Amino acid sequence: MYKLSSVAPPWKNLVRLYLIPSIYAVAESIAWHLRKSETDKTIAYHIIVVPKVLNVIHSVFESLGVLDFVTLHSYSWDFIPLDSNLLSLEFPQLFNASFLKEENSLLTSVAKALMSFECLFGKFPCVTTLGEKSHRVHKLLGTWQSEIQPPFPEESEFNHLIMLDRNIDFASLLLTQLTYEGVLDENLKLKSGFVYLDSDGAEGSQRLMLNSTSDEIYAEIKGKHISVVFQHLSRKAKELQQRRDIKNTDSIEEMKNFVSHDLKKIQSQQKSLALHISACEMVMKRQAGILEELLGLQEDAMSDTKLKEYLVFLEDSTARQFDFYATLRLCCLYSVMEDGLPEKEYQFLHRQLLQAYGYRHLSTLHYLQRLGLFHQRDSKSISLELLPDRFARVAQVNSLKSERVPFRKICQRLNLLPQSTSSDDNSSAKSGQHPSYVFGGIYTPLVYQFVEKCLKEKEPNLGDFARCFGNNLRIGDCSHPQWGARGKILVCFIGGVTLAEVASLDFLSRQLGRHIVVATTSTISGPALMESIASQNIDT
Amino acid sequence: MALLTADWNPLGREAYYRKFEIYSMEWVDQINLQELKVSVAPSGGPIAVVRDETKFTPVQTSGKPIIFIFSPSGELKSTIKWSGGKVIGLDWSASEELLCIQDDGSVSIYDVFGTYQNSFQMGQEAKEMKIIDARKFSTTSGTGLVVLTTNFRFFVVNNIKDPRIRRFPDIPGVNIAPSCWTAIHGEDRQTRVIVAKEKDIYLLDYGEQHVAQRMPEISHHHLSIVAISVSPCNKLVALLTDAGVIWIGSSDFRRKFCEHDAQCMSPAVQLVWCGSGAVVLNLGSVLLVLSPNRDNFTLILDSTSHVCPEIDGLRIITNSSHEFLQKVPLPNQEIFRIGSMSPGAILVEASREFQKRSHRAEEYIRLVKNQLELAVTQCIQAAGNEWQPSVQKMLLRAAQLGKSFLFDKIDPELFVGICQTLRILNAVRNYKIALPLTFQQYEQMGKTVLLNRLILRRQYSIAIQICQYLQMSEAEGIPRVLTEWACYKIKHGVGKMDAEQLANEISTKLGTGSKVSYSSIALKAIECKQDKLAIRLLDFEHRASKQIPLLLKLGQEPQALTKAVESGDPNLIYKVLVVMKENYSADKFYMTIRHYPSVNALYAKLCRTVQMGSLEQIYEQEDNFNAQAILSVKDSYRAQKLENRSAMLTTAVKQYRQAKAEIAATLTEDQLKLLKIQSGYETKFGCPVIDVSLNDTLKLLMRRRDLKETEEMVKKFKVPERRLWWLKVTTFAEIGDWVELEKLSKAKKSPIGYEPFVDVCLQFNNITEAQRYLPKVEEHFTIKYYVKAKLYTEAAQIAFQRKDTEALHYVQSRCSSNREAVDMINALIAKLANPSEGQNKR
Repeated sequence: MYKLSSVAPPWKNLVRLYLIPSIYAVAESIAWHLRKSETDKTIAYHIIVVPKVLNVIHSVFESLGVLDFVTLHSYSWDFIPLDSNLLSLEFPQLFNASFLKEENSLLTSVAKALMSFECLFGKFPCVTTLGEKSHRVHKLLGTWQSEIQPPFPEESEFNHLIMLDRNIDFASLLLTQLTYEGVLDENLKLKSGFVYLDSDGAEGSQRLMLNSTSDEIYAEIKGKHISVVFQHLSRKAKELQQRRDIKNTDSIEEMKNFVSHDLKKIQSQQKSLALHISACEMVMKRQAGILEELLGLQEDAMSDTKLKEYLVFLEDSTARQFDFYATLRLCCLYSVMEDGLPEKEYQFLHRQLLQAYGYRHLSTLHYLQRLGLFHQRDSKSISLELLPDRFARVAQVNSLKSERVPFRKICQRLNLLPQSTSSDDNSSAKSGQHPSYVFGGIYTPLVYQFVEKCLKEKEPNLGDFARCFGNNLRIGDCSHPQWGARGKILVCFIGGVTLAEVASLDFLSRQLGRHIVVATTSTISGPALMESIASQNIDT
Repeated sequence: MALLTADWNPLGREAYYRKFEIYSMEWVDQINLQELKVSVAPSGGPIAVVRDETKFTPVQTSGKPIIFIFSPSGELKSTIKWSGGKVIGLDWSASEELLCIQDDGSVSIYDVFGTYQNSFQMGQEAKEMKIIDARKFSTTSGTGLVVLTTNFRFFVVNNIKDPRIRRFPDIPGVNIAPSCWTAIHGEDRQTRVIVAKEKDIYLLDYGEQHVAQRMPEISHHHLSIVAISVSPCNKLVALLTDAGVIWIGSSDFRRKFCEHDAQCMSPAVQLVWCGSGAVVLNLGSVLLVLSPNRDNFTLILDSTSHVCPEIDGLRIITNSSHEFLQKVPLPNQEIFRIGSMSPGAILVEASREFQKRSHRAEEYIRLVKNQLELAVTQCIQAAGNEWQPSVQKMLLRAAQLGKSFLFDKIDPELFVGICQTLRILNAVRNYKIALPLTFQQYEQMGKTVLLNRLILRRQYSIAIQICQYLQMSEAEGIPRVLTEWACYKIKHGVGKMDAEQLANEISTKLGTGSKVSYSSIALKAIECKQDKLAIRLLDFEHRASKQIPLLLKLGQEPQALTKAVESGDPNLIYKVLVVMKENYSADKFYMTIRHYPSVNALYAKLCRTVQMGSLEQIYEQEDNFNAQAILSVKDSYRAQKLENRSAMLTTAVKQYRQAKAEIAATLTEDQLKLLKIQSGYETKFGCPVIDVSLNDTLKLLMRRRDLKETEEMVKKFKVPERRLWWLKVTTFAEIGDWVELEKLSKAKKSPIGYEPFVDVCLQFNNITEAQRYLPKVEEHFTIKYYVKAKLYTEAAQIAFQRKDTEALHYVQSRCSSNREAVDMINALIAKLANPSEGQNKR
């Protein structure tokens, strides 16, 4: 197995297989590989394209004259379990494709994956969608069902599918995640369930698999507030050491027993403990000093106070050349919470960012504007004029029709901003008494509130949500007899989910005693999002 | 019981043959087989007749011949007024299509209803030389055809659906016509022709292109062989000589089983096999049945007959009736043979007594108690082979009685299966439907083929009932029948009915959501040039992948585009786009796709990746200057040369202006300015500068201690003061220019405070320099910064002066490793605490 690079791997086998995403540039580079190594006709080349062989990919092989000796296959994989309650399609490119470019072909794969899920667990009797893409996926799901008509199990194990678009709640992306798993993701970049502890995932580097089913210690700490994790780990280390020491003095018989059973477990636990500790240390090193400052600022942004200082900090951070993504994130958070920046500030920040980080980020800012992450607060007509292009204009018109509600209003209406921030509340936030603990007690993820409202009452009371999101909210058929039954719930994110949100849903699941499984197109974090938007420069 | 064996004829010691009537023909008094050439389709198929031109008959109609097609029950189905050339042969394919073979080698295919389907040719040579004879043969995949030309060459087509003509090797000594010939298609999937030329037999094999000569050993005197017939199993062959002698031997002509003088001096009509057990010589109204063991009997019919071999028997068609001759199947023979004591026979007797409520039933049962299983199986199998429902019932009743003594020992499947099959068979045997299939024939053809037959005969209703009855899967069951029905409806509704009305009628019958393939129905409509109907019908198709190609075929691009977008399949959208791009003018193309955001996005992607079109063009069309500008900006990054880059950026500025995006425009201008300056630096400094951010450029200048240039740049780009200060502080520290740093701190009150000064000093471990700025640090940060600089004593002192116990604790917590400092702080805390204690006491 080789990682794809610009030159063909040094393989000697007669059957060679490529597994690639359906991206034109990738296909093209492979076609060049083949063209260069086109010497032996006995070698069979198979190319598996995820999720689908597009016509353009077919044509690139054709135009380079290598179609004769390759076989193209489509493979649309289904949800991959990353953790006990987290399924992912691992399509990180979906966010940019769907939300930024309105290129929705990947949604078909999502619908297909959901249908496969239904084939295993029965049809969802009730589907609630929040957001345009979710609605589209739901429609596609219906199309797939009628087109393929696979056999569904009679009994539905999951009785509610709740789908949300990522762009419904950007705040969860922009705020710093404070659960252990969230922190790891933000700092070390979670890649398909793994974080790499050295450099950037080079071959043979130390890696940590974040899966609570196989790692007992991780299961204990993954959803915990980062501030208590280190203590927990050190306590755990002591405990393990103790268990080992005690056993050392026992009789031979017990010793044998211990060696054959417990020792292995202890050893593996110790190993993973060591990994967790080193991961923690890396994170600490990275965040040293700045974390507190960041959290304070985020709190200010959420509570609409000290905005002047906030702006000064932003200016300083451009001057000090802080991490670009972190700075951008703060800018976006400000813009999202304030429903855009006043013209003067917007222009000023725009200029600062570009001067500090290079003019090539002009398009990055442009994309952020298109996503509604970083934009100028305007009268609506002007904003229409200024919007980047027609798609966005259409989108804007649509959202105007449905009277887009500013995000702060949404927060207030849905009670997403916990009221008091007294010291004792803070400690409860850390210990996880309130779902907002995942963001240090300053914000309750929208999804938590949404799912809770969907499930708590017998008849879901989503009036507040309807007022906030208008047409984007579609409530499923509630009259179904299985409604309210204590079945499992699948929460599906279109465009990615942060691990903090997953943690908040875990919290809800424990609270209600109902099994909630999260499905997503990929896991996502603020830095990852910013990076992917910024890298749009290269890949057009 | 005696009645049942009345029509049995023994052939030898073991075998019986029975002949029974299937239908009495409706054509009685209208048809005289003597004057006609007859062709019967196998497996209970229809009958085609045409006037035999070799016989003298009173001519009723003048001119061209008329082909009549009758159902097996003699009901006239259709007539074909033949207008083509001379018809050499009429034959039926395995899927009940009538093949009319003309002397020029063209073969026209008609369905049961006389509707022309298609035609094919037997090749140039056949066309030029004309053909004199033709034989069809059946293969596993369909029907093949062999023709004989006037120059005595054979040409073969192995599958009439896919006519590929091959030539057989020539017969040695080509001068006279073969006296008779036949074609066989063996299990090895090779087609061979057996030709008799006078006394000689030749085997022609086109696969190996060789001819083998055989000399069957016939002891009776003869001049030539006039008929050849190969048994259904392909193992036996029967020959008839001109002297009226029948010879039966193995199909390789090496073994002889018997020779029988049939004493038929009249030219024999047909020599065919009845199953593989007997040869039947049809002498018109007399049939001679001959086994390979030379046992034989004759049957006298009421009129001239035509016989048609089936796999398990022989259909005999006469002027008044349609009969079936078969070897009595073994179970039936066991049960009904006179004096039979087989378990089945006794069980039937028991059942009969049981019906009569006689105690003897019990005695009979007791008689077969040990063989009851066999008895039941015999009865069930025998029931399947019977034609009369009353007999079937009797046997099934007997089987049921036997079964009740066996409890669970016998598999109910067999019984249920036979009942099911018999129900279907009895239904299709009805003279209205007229599909006289025996059990064995049905087993061989299977339910799918049966359905095909019914569909071909337009018996949709019974086909659906059978589907329901057999609970057939969706793929081959009801939806398929409905689809065929709709296709028929369209074909025959053309011109008679309004498209809308027809579409409604079809959709109400077929419903939505079922697995009915509307696309194939629509395709039929397109074939019939009913575009409007097709479009309507495609609305009901829910599989976009089937729907869209047809919509495109119909020129309904916008609709196809809508459906493609709904399906979310990029390949489909692409397909539509390609077609639209070809057929539409550029303007119309853009105007159409502009309504679909996701199409637009995909098109944009295609433009960028496969150069399907120009993206700029769309944006121009849309007056979308902003997008154009972004495009220009992006292109500029890809440009290698600086001049190109600048040119593109200049365009971008213009476009931004048009888009009224002032910020972006000015920023792009700035970028241009910076690029120019940077390129200047690059030549001046001899190091890469281009593409470095403004901040880094400034730093570079400061690092080169080029402060004048720095100031200029700051002015040019309106760098705010705070940022400049930050830059200066960090850069000076980086290059260790502490003097310059101090100068900066003294030049003016720092807008960013003095904390950064300390920070940078500490970053480079320069405590002495840091101490210079510590006093200037803002008051509430002082202690923190002293701690940062690890000047714990000073920090503690300040805290003490401020009487801040908490701060003291903070400092202490930070220096826990430093024993001295901790002690000192403890002392200070105590000092602070004591006076307060004293106050409290007071």
